[in-house]
Parts: sequence; C-alpha cells; structure tokens
Amino acid sequence: MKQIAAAVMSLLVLLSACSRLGLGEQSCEPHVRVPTAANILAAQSVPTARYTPCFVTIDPGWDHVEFEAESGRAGIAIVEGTDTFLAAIVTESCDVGDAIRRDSGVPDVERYEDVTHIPSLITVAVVPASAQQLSYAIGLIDLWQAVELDERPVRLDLDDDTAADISTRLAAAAMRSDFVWFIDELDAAELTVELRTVGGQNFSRITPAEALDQIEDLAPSPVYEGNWFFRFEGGCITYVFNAEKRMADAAPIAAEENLGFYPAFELRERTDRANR
Amino acid sequence: MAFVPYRPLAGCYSLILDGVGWRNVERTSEQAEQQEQAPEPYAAASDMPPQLMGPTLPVAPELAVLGERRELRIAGVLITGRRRRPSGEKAPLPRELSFGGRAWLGAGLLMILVWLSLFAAPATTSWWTQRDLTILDWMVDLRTEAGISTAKFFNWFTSEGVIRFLRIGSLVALAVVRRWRHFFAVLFAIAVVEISIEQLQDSIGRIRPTVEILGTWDGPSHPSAPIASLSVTAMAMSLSLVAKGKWRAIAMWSAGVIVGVAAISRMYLGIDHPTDGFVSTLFAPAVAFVLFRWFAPNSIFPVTWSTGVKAHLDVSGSRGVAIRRAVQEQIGVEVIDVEPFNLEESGGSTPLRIRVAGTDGTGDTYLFAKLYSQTHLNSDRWYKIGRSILYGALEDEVRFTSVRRFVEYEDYIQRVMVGCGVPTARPIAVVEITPEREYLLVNEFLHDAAEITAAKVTERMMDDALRAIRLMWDNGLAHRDIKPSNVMVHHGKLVLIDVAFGMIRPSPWRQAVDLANMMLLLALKSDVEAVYERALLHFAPTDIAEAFAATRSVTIPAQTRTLLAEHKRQTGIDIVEEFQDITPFREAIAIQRWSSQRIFRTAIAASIVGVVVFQIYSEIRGTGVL
Repeated sequence: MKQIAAAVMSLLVLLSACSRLGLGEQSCEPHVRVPTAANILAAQSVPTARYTPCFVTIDPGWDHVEFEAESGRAGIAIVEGTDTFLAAIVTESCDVGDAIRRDSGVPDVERYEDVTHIPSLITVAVVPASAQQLSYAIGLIDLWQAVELDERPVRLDLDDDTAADISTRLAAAAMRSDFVWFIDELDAAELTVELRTVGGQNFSRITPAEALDQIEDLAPSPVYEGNWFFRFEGGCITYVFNAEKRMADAAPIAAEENLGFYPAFELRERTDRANR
Repeated sequence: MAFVPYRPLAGCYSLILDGVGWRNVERTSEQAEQQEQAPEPYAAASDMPPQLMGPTLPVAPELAVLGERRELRIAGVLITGRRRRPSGEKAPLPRELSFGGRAWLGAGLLMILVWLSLFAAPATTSWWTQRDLTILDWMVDLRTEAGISTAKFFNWFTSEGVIRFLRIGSLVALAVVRRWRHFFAVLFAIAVVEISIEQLQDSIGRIRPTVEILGTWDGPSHPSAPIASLSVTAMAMSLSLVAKGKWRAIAMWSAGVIVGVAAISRMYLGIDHPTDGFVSTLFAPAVAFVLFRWFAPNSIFPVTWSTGVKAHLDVSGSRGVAIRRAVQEQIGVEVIDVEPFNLEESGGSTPLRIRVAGTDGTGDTYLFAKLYSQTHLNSDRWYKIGRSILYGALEDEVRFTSVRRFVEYEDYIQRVMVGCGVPTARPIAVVEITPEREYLLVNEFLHDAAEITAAKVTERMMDDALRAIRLMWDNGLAHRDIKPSNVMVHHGKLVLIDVAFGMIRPSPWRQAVDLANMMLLLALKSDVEAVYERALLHFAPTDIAEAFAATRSVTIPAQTRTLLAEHKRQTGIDIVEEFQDITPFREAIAIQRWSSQRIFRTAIAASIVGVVVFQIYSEIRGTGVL
C-alpha cells in the first residue's frame, strides 16, 4: 500500500509554481513563488538531482493531478478519468535506450524522445486518375471536408497533379496520408471511389459515405505513447505518455506548456534555511 | 403486605376465537379444560398452603433490618428482603475507565494537543520543526557505522514485508480457530489506521527532515506511516492473539519497546521527525485499542484458543461478584454460586444458572438468568439487519435503542406469554448490573428439562405443543424461534423458552411459520400423518396448508434443518415434502418482499462483501492495506 502515497494533492499543486524548462526558456526565478510540500518532497526524493518536475499551470479541464514521492523517485501525473495520460518522474538516472536526441534548449539538459504518435486527424488523399475526374474530386472534397468520424476530424487533400504518372502519385499519396481515394472514369460516372489503405486493402466502386464508414473502422486509434527523457546533473526527469483518443493530441502540448522543472538544489537549500 | 397475584392480561383470550367455525364447541371445551388445569402464573406466598411453600430463603443479614418486604414465591424460591440502592450509591458493576483506559485517553488528548500546535499556525509549526531538527541534528552528530547498521536493523521491523508477514500470520491463526470477531477487529483496526494515516499525510503534507536521510521513505512525513503500521499490527496481535493477563502485558510491553526502538532508529536515520513517530506510536495503538474495546471487548470475547467461542460475558472476577451482590440485593435471595449454563445454545446473551441457598433442610435451589450487555444489543442489531435483508418487510425488525429496552421487551413479552397461558418459563425480575449497559433477566429454572427431540412425543405432548401455538395465534402472538432447543419437556409438560424474539401482532406469515416449525419438530419424533391428525384438532386444514406454503429453507431454524437432513439421510423421508403433500394445496407464500430500506441494506451488505473480497484479493496480489 505504500505506493499509494500517490496522494491527491491538487490543492497543494495548484499553489505551486515552477519554471518552464526547455523550448528556449531557461529562466525560472520569476515563476517561483511559494514552493509547496509537494515540490520539496520531490526535491528530497532524489537529493542529487539538479531539477525536480512541477506544474507550471494546471489546466482546469483536467480531471485531477496526482503527486507521488518516495526515496529515489518522485512524480506528478495528470489523470483523465481513471487513466494517467501524462506523468513526469524524477529519478537519479534513466535508460534512454534508442530514444532520439532532441534539442532541449538548455545547455545542461539533454533531451531524448521515444514515442509513438497516431494523431486524431485522419488524412485522406483524393487522387483523380485524370483531369476529367478533377471536378468530381473537388466536389467530393467540398462535400466531405467538414466530416468527423468518431469525433475525429478528417482532412481531404486533393492531388491535382494529373499530368504525373498515376502510380507515382498513388505511392506518394499513400506516403503522406492515412487513406487514398482513387477516382477513375467509371467512379466519376457512378459517383463512387476506390478506397486504398496503407495496409494494402482496396475497396472498389463504393460510395464516398461507404468509404468513410470503412475509414472509421480501419483507422488506427489515436495515441501518444512513450517517453521524453531529460538528463541533467545528478538526475533524470522522464515524461511518461500514455494518451489515447482525444488526449493523444493534447498530451505533448500539455507536456510542453504545463509541466516544468524546479531548481531542486536551490529548493533544498532554501527549505533547510527556513527550518532552522 | 401481600403480593398481588399476577393475573392473565385483559387482552388475552381464554377461548379460541378464530372465526373459522369448525369444531368450535369442541375446541372451546378443550381450551376451557386447559385453563382450569393451567397453574396460576404467580401466587402470593401468603396464599399458599404451607406444604407447598418449599424452602424459605434467608434474607441476607445486612438486609434483614430493612423492614417489611413483599414476599413472592416462584418456582420453589421464596423471594423477600429486597434492597433499594440509594441515590449516589454505585451500581453493582459501575462503569469506570481502567488505568489502561485512562492512560489511552490521556495519550489521545496529548496527541490532539500536539497536532493542534503542530499545524494550527505557521509559528507553532515552525517551533515544532525547529525542535525536531535540533534533536535530529544532535542524532546525526552521534551517527557511527555501527549505530547506522543497528538503526537499519530495527528499521527493518517497519518494512512492508515484515508487517505483511505479521498481519497475514495473525489473520490465518484467527481464521483457523474461527475467532471471526477478532479476525474482523484486526482487519478493521488495520484498515482504519492505514486509511487515516494516508489521509492525514495527504492533508498535512509535511516534508521529510532536512538532514541527510539514510533510508527509504514513501510519501509525506507526518504521521509516520511505517511506525503506525507496526504499532497497530503489534497492538492488534496483542489484543487478538494473547490472553488477557501477564502474557498480554508482556506482549504489549515487548511490542512497545520494538516500536519505540524502531521509531528512534528512523529518527537516527533521518527518515522521520521525532513528532512523526511520536504521534504514530500513540495514534495507531489507540485506534486498535478503542476498536477492540468496542467491537470485540475482552470481557465478552476473551482470547482463547478453542474454536467456536460465542459472545458470552465472563462472569468470573468483578462481574461475578457484582452479579451475586445485585441478585442478592435486588431480588432478595442469598446467592451461593453463579455459573454459565448451556452457553453453546445461546449466542444472543450469556445464560447463567444461579444457585441460591435454601432453608428448612430442603437444599439449595436454582434460578435461570440471562445476562445482556451492550454487545448483545449490537449483535441483536446485526441479527435484525440480517433478517430484514433475508425476509424484507414481513418482519418488524426495528432495533432496540438500549440494553434496557432490550431487556424490558423480553421481560414484557415473557409476561404476556405467561399471562396468556402460553407454557413458558416464568420471569422473576430484571436485575441491574451496570446502568444502561448490563442487565440480568432472571427466570425460574426448569430442573431436569430436556429438549423435545430427546423426549418421547405422545399424543398428549403433541396436543400441548399444538395448543401452545394455537394459544399464541389466538392471542396475536408469535414465538419466532421454534426450534428443538427452545421447546423443552419439563416434568412431562411442554414449555417454550427463549421468547426474546416473540412478537405481538406479528404478520400472519410469521404465525404460520411457527406452526410449521412446531409440526416439523413433532414429526421428527413421530410421523407426519400422526402429527397432521393431531393438528387438525387445533387448526383448520387451510391453516396447516398456509403453514407449509410459508415454509422455506430459510424459515426453518438451522438446528431443525440439521435434524431434518439427518432424518432424511436415515429414513429417506423428507418431512417437509410429506407435509406439503398431505396438506391441501396452496400456492407458496412469497417471503421475499422488497422495500427501499431492504434494497438499501442489501446494497450496503453487498458493498461490504465486495470490499472484503476486494481486500482479500488485493492482499493476495500484495497491494492491499495489509
């Protein structure tokens, strides 16, 4: 049960403030107001760590935030429903594995990312076989551009380079979009499309509405899973993402905008001074 | 001054008036005959012929000078010489906090004061933190390699693994000996402490000491969760596994030393502030102590290592002395001895046999008494909640608000039964042991009585038994607990005992169930046809059909069910089915009636079961509060 020290400390955290690290912003002092017990406990959990995670702002739309601290590990988490879609955990070290290095924007912090992102936006490339089907394709885009599938927006992109080789165009469309609507002469005459998926499935002579139904079934669920690692002197902060559906797009934004690092050394020293 | 004889109540019918109309004349004459034969429930001693007076019991010497007294003879016992307790005089067993209780109360108050000063204002918080850190700085200065190793060893006692091992071991031991009260008390105490500590930690959110920390920790610092976990476990083990007395004292002191040393070790390692450990060492055992006192008090649930111990008060020691004194003063008889009697047959009270001195060379005689306490009242509440879930709105299961009301009701229903001519043990008096907490209900003692299943059941016996049910029907009564241990044969006559569940103006369904249960008992010792034939002399066929249409497994007491199953195993005869075949057909009477209260209680009960199952599941997975 000890791990249940995952205390719901919304009030404490709401009072907290911390600096935003990365993305070019280095200064933290102006944001530091009154450190809370949550901040200090996090700083105490990994005494060697230069930074400790904290909330820059609390989004009022979140269900609640949680705080957890124990020796060697501390973290904050954003919970939607019963799932934690984003957590920031400080430890003494971390294994970045095959994560890709990114620029942290801070000289003494190394940033790595190892994530899988399937956005909620579904892209469909509309590829008319020739110029004769162009007007039908434009009509389809006008008609279906605002459609949403299972609360996911759909964007239809027109490939109007009808002079190019069709196989090259289809390959390119498949590369940049989730689905392809191929339209030949007969489709234009019968008001149908050929739906092509990235996986190689084809559905010929189906209406655009049927094609959208298929897309709704076949489109992979939006997700943002994986880790961001921030390595620095004496510690590592890992952002753990486990966001699905509508949170898949929100998670990385929340991580950038709402989470930050607190200068832990300074916090520990300040607390010690205040208590003696 | 002569005692006014107790007459049948005005509301009791002396004739059978059922409106059915069949054999009215015949039954009326039977009833009249019975009324003539029935003994006067009470008689004034002065009205009795000398040869029937029996032994005269001596008045206790200190009562002898108190002047003229009422004289009452019940069951061969002459009662006289009662003494009224003057205002201001202590009750026979006054309710007083023991030294231990006072110590815990004081500790609780001290803890509240510490808390208030710790967190009431920033200034006092800072004051405490500075004092804590002064101590910790001093301890840090004393650190040595050996000291750190020793402290880590004692801190090991607060580790999850050790605490989990102790808790599971205790629960397994309690489950093996089926001491479920203690089992749930342990579980409850642990859950309350763990949840409280977690909530307090979250609310207070105290940081760890700002010294070098040489051990692992988890969550906010105050109160110290590991010390609380160890303390409550040690206290719960002492209270549930070790018998009260020297060994429990040794266990508690040992546990206290280990907890204390562990708390100091954690301070030495810089994990907890002194006040963190101090509060936990007071709070957690106090919670366990209070919960055990409330839920499994030692006086009622003593720690023994035999199985199947029921809720019975210990009548030795100060309570035994108090009972003797109370009976002597309040009834006016000289008590020789008080001993538990037929404990295994009773779960709702503590039955006693009281030996009282006889005179005139006739030897000692006995009284039967039932000792009721607050815990019995609690048991009765749970029992009623269970029945309301089982039966729904058919039963009036309003709980009693006090032990006094509980005892008053039983005494009253007993007097109503006696007054109506229902053959039952005659009540003598209610004796106060501890005001509002413990009372003794004293009855006549049925010498050489045997359960009906151990006696020969003749046609006359059947008539007596069925007539008793008929009398209750006609007077708007129900016994509600007709089972072998409550239907006795005393000197060849049938007597119903334990009328505590009796009810005035019960539901017709409940009266029908009484009839069915009595007929089942009789059939166990004779045969279905014979019982049915005799029953037709007292009840209409439709009455009997109704009785068996109301009969379900849950309406038959467990003791009877066991005997019926045994009878079926030996003879192949299912008595219930035989009765249902022989009686006129009637649709089964639905007993499951739903009300909002029943739904609510069922939902609560299901939730509790769910929580317990989840807790056990969590425990198996290693994530529970244990």
